[in-house]
Amino acid sequence: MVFDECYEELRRYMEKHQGASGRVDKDSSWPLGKRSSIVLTEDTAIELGHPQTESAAFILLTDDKSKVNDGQVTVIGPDLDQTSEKKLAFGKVIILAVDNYDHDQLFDRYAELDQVRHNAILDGYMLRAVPQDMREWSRISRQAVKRGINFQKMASAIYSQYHAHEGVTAVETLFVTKGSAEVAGLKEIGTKVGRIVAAMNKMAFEMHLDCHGCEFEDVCEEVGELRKMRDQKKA
Amino acid sequence: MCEGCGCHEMYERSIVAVCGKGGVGKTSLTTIITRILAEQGDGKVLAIDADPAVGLATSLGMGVTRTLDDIRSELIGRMQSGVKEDRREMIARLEYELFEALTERDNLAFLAIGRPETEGCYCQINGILKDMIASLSANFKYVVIDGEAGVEQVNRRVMERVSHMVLVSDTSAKGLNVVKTIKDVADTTVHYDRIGLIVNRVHSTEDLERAKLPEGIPLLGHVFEDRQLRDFDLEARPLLELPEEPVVHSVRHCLANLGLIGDHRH
Repeated sequence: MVFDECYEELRRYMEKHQGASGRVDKDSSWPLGKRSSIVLTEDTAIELGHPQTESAAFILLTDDKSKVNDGQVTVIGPDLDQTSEKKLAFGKVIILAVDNYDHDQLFDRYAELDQVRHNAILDGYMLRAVPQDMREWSRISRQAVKRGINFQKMASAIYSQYHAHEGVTAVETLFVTKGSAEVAGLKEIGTKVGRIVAAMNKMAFEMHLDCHGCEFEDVCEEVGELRKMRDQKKA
Repeated sequence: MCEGCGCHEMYERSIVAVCGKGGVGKTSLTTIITRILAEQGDGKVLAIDADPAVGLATSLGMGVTRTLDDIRSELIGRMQSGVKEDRREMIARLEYELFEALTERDNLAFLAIGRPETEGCYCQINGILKDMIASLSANFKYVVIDGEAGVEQVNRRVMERVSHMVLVSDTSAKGLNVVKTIKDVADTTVHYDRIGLIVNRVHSTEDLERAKLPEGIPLLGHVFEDRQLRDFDLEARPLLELPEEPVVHSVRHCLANLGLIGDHRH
C-alpha cells in the first residue's frame, strides 16, 4: 500500500521510543461531547499541541490486518494524570487496517477516515486541528481531568468510533507527550504521509498528469504504489 | 442575576451591540459594559471589537496578536498564490486560527475583527467566518460588540441577531441624529429584542435638558463627563481598573434599565 514505508518508519520510531502499552476498554470509553463546545484557559487543565509547541497528528492506513494490534494503545511520555505541566508537545497517530481497499478510491477513503477523528469530539476536550498541516491543538478541561480522563479512555472512544465505520478491521492508537524532539520525529513521518495524500489528491482531481514540474514528482518516484496509480491514470 | 427582579431571565444568552457616532465614548462604554457583565461572575463574556480602529483592546487592557481580517487576508493570499485547500480543510484551518486569535483573561475573552483591506468579493469566506463567530459566541453567556458607527457593519461582518442594542450619543444634535439613523437602519436590517439610548459625556443637567433626544428610543440613562475616565483614556490605562463611582455606577444603572442585569437597588 502507498503508506507501507511510512508504516515501517512508524514501527521503528515506536521501537526506539519504547512507550507504555495497554488495551482499550470499551466499558471505560470517554463520553462524547458537543462539537461547538470550547474550553477557555480559565477552565483548562492541560493543553496538548498548543500552537507554540510541537504537534503532529495523522492517521495511517494499511490493508494488512496483521500489521495492526487491534485495541492497543501506546503512550510515549507521561499520561494526563502523570504530569503537572500545563502545556505539552503532542503527537497522535491512529493506525487503521481497512479492507475493500481500492487504489482509485484511496484518497476519498483516507479523507473520509481522517474526518472520523475530527468528528469524535470528547466531552471536556476541545479540539482544533489543521489536518493538512497534521496539527492538533487540544484543551482538556479541569472537570474532565477531575473525572479521570486519560489516554486509554480517549483511545477507547476513538476505537469505537472507527470500528463503527464500515471496512475498518483494526484500530491501534499512539500518543506522544514525551517532548518536542519526540513529537518532531513523529512529525517527519506525518509530513511524508501528508505529501502522499496530497499527491493522491492531485491525481484524483486534476486531469493534467504530466510529471514534469509537478511538486509531487519526488513522492511518486519514492513510493512505488503511487507510481502505479499514476501509470494507471495515464493509461 | 438579581433574584428580586430576575429581569434578564428571558434571555438565555445576551448579545449586546453598542453603536453610535465616532467620538462619543462608545468604546469606553463598551469596556465598562463588558466589565460589569464579567464581574457578575454568572457566565463567560466575549467582547468583540468590530471597530476597525481596534480601540477596545487597549481599553480592556488585552493584547491583539491577530485580527479576524488578518486571518481572512492570509487565507485569500494563500488562495491567490495557488495553495489549494478543500472546503473541509479551509474550515478546519479557520477554526484553528480563529481560536488562536482569541485573547483570554479569567472569564473574559476578546476577539478583534480588524479592518477589511482585501478588495474583491469573498462572500464564501466571509460567510464561513460569520458562522464561526456565531458558533464561538454560543459558548458565552454574554457577547458584547463594539460596533462601527453603522449597525449594518455589525450585521454584515459579525452577527445578524442581537438581543440588546445600546445606542450611545453625547448631547450634540449631530450625535443624536446619528443615533436616530442607526435605529432606523437597525429596524430594517438587524433582529434585536431591546434597544435603548445612553447619553454620554454630559457636561451638566442643563445640557441634558436641552438635548433633543430622539423619539421612539427609550432613554436608559446618562453618564456625566468624568475627569478620571479622561485620564485613564489619556494614559491608555485599562478601564477595568476604573473606580465604581461615578461612571461605572451610572452604566450599571443603564444596564439595569435595559433589563440586561438585575436592578440591585431593589
